[in-house]
Amino acid sequence: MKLENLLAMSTRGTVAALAVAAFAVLGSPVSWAQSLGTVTIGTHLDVDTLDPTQNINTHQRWVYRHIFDPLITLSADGKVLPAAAQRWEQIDPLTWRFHLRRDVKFHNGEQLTAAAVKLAVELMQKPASQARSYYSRFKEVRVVDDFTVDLITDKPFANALILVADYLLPVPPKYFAEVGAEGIARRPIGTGAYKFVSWRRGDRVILEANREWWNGRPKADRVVFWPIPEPGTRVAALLNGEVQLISNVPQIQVEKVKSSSAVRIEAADQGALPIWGGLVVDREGLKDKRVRQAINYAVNKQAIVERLLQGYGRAMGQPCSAQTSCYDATLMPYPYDPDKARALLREAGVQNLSLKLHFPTGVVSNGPELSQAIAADLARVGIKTEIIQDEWKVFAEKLFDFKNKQANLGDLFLMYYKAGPTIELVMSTVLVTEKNWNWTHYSNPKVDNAWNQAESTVDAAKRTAMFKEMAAVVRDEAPWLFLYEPLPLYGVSNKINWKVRADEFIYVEHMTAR
Amino acid sequence: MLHVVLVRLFSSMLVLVGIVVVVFLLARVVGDPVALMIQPGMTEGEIGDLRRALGTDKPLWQQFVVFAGNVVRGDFGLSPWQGEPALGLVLERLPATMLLTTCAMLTAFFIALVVGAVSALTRGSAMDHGAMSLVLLGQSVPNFWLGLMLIMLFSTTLHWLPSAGYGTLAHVVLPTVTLAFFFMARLTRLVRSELLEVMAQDYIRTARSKGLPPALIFRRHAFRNIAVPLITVLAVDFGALIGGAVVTEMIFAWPGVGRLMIQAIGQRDFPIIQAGAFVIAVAVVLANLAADLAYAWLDPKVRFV
Amino acid sequence: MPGSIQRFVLSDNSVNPDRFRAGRQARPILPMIALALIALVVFAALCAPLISPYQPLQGSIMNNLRPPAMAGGDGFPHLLGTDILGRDVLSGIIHGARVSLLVGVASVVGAGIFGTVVGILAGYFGGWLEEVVMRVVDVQLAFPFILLAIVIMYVLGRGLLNVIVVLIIASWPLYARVARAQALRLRTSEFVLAARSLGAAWPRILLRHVLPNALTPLLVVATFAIPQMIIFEAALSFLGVGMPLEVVSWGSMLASGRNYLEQAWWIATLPGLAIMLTVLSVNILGDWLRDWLDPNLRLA
Repeated sequence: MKLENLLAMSTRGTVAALAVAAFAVLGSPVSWAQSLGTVTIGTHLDVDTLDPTQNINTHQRWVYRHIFDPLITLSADGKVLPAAAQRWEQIDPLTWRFHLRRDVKFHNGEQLTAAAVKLAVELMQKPASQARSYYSRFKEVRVVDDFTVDLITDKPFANALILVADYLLPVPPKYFAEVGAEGIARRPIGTGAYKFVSWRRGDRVILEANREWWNGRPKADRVVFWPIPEPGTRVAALLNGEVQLISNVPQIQVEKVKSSSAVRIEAADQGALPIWGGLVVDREGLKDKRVRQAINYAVNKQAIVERLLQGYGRAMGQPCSAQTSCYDATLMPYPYDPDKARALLREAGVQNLSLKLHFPTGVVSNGPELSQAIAADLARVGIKTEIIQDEWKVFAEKLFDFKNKQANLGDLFLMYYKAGPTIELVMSTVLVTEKNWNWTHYSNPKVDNAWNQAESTVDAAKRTAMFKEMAAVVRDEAPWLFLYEPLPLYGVSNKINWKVRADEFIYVEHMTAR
Repeated sequence: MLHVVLVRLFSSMLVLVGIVVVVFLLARVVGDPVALMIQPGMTEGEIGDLRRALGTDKPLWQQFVVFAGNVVRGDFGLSPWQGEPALGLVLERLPATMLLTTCAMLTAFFIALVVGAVSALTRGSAMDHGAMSLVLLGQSVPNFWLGLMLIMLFSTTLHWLPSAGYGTLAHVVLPTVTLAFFFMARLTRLVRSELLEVMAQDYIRTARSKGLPPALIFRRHAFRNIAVPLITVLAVDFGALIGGAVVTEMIFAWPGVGRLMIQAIGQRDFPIIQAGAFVIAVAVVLANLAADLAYAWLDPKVRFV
Repeated sequence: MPGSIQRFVLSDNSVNPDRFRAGRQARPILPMIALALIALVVFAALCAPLISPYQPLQGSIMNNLRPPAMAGGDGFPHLLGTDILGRDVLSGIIHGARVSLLVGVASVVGAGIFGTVVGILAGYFGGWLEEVVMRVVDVQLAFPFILLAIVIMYVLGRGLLNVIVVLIIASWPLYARVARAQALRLRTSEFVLAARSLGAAWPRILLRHVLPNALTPLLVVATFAIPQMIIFEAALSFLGVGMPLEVVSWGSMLASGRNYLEQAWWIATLPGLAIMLTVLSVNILGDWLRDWLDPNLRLA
């Protein structure tokens, strides 16, 4: 360890000791024993940038959330809670007004004002930002006064708050003017519970507690995000006590983690990233819904879940995953029935069907194994497949190639989507005829209607009815090969209490010592 | 002597120019870099702006002139993946790669020296045969497999060493062994054969007949004579070593240039691929140049064809 | 690493040739074992469909991760176990031998022919042709072989033919260098000068006089290159840019097994062992061949 680090640590130690003494005298609600010390989180993906306006991948936002505070945040059960904004209101169908707290300061001392919110939204609307497709829906950010800001949507938008919660992270305007986007990407300054300390690309992001945080004393002294892409290594690091929490435990390694008394597995009870196969419905051979159903009967997803995922998954038979707002618990997955599949194919008069089975490397977990298992199952009912594997960038190019109607995309492509609070946005862009993620070219007026109305319907019962109808239609018409939702597995040290959230959000402030 | 230096410098410059051409073509052959940056919802106008900003609306030769000019200034453009200057990103990873390759090289060098010498001294003995069999084995083990086997043995079974990552001395051991193995085998062979040749020379025979102890003969005469070819081969092998480092870095999650480049290839991040290929190629050329010059300097008999 | 193969051959022969003979005569059995192993691999490759117990790509996922020599559900034991998809590892290794041998031999033949032609022409005629060829070789050797191969594979996409093409592109300079050196040496030899003074045309001189005399070192280099190519194919497949999923290769078996090292060591270990034994055998034979062809061989 470097001398300066040692010195820094001893100073911090002294400060901490003084704090303990002070708390002891004053009768603090937080006792010293409950501090988490250093929490190191082993992640399966590298951090690409620390600029929170450019990247909105969940594993990136884990890091951002610690450095920056959102205006509003979501509780584990999806309720909207105040954060840097103490109140908000909808003042007309298009306008959402946020009242900022007055005691929030950035790590460099800058006051949080409406200008910081405006800057963040503008940066999120830049062409290269991943948030662009969502944030282009805010046509204006109006600064009412220093602590009041209006977000104005292009049309009535029931889910606007979901887009703001935990996504919109104010950026300090003065600091930004000084260092620019590159500076933020490398040495971010936010209002959050943790201050940025250091980051080596491809290696650890190190954060330390922000003692002046407006929301009290941060739970940990240090938070470290450490990308460890190799799954076995990640598990080993957890078992060795080098990290306290790891993401994406491979199903096959679960037993190993369970065999240790120092760590445990936390499995989510729902899949945050369900995996589905898109069937491009206007391709030769796939136009007949019986063929698409046959494919659903032919693939033994239950066996795949049991053997490949070691049971940590749930087979699906409808577009929405369990425990989301559009899920219908009465709809069962297609059973594995190769005879029925063959019969349906015969009925449809389809012989020697040959499909291109396409998947992106790394993005769909277990992609190589899954695609080969599907190919083997399809071969048993007489459907030939050619497996095409592309890097994500290349795959995405083909996916978003609207000009040529996705001509280079496989007939059956494996994809995932993001479940959780934003599911309705995702589903509507994937399933509605004219929407820009409708890669399967599926089109059904009933489904379109259900989504278009749901977007502006507030009545919960009505919405549920619409979603149920939609789910049944989509299940029957099978524009997808319904696969499964893998249950995300996390490895956690027994020194901390922590549960996986539905949106798989990791935030050290949600942890407690045990 | 000066003539030799100049000739080598000139041909190295030529190679550098060739490298710039290849690096330029690398990205252009693969496809339109703009197509990869287009996001859903971008207008034609914005795409046009991107195109102009990157200069890909111009003819190829003009693009090359601009590119070469930028390379001279060390500017490979912004990485679309990480949003920062590509060369900086590559250089940031260089120390990790240099650490790995240097450790591997030193390990290979010293082990080869010892094993090769023992083998040569005890020529024809069981020890020699054993060493030479190990050498053959060393040249036959694919390093990615060796890496996995080492992880399985020392990390997951015995828990002696961390299986991957970067940071402490313990993290360096397995990647170093993995990378060094092949070169160790090569060098051992070289040391052994060079030593055998040297030992057949008259002055060694003379020294021996004078009754000097073998260890002394070795120190005084033999090692000095094999140093030149050994160092040369080390430098010349540098390129292969870096190639091996690419695979090794992938296995051990080592934050070096090789892993960065593989990731960049997956991301189709051409500025990083170009900057990385350029930096590595230049390093290889420099190593070769240094080796050639050192060789010429140490051994005046050598003339270049 | 092709450059290093050449240097390896070079450096090893720049010494008195009897040093290995002693060892070899003491153990003449080693090349025989190597030969037998290679024969076995060749046999497996040729007769794969006849001798492999299962289809290498078919398996039941319900039957996955079975350890070696445990009776499988299908009534025939999986001698070397099954992989994550329930496919028989032994059948995979047998079929994988085809890919490894095909890639090894085809890429060496392709690169050997191309490199030899270019190198002999460059060495014989000299001048600008030689300059250009040697500069191109220099530039190419400045890029680590594996990196070059990976980038080209990304352009071409996965595939058996593509892997062979990439290995040819990346390894021809090796032969070009050796061939050029030989042509340089032979250009001024008495029999070439004599042929030229008798008015023989250059194609005839190259074919009848230069090539046959340059062949021995080229053959030796090629022998040592085959195992290297086998390793490179495996490395490419291991990194995920080599063979497509429908082609069974030792490298891709190894790559898919790495995720299950602890739970199912056999998936990654056994194909790796196959690669190692094959490469080792070819190397041993290469040593032997080199000494047998020409104990005084000097390539420079």
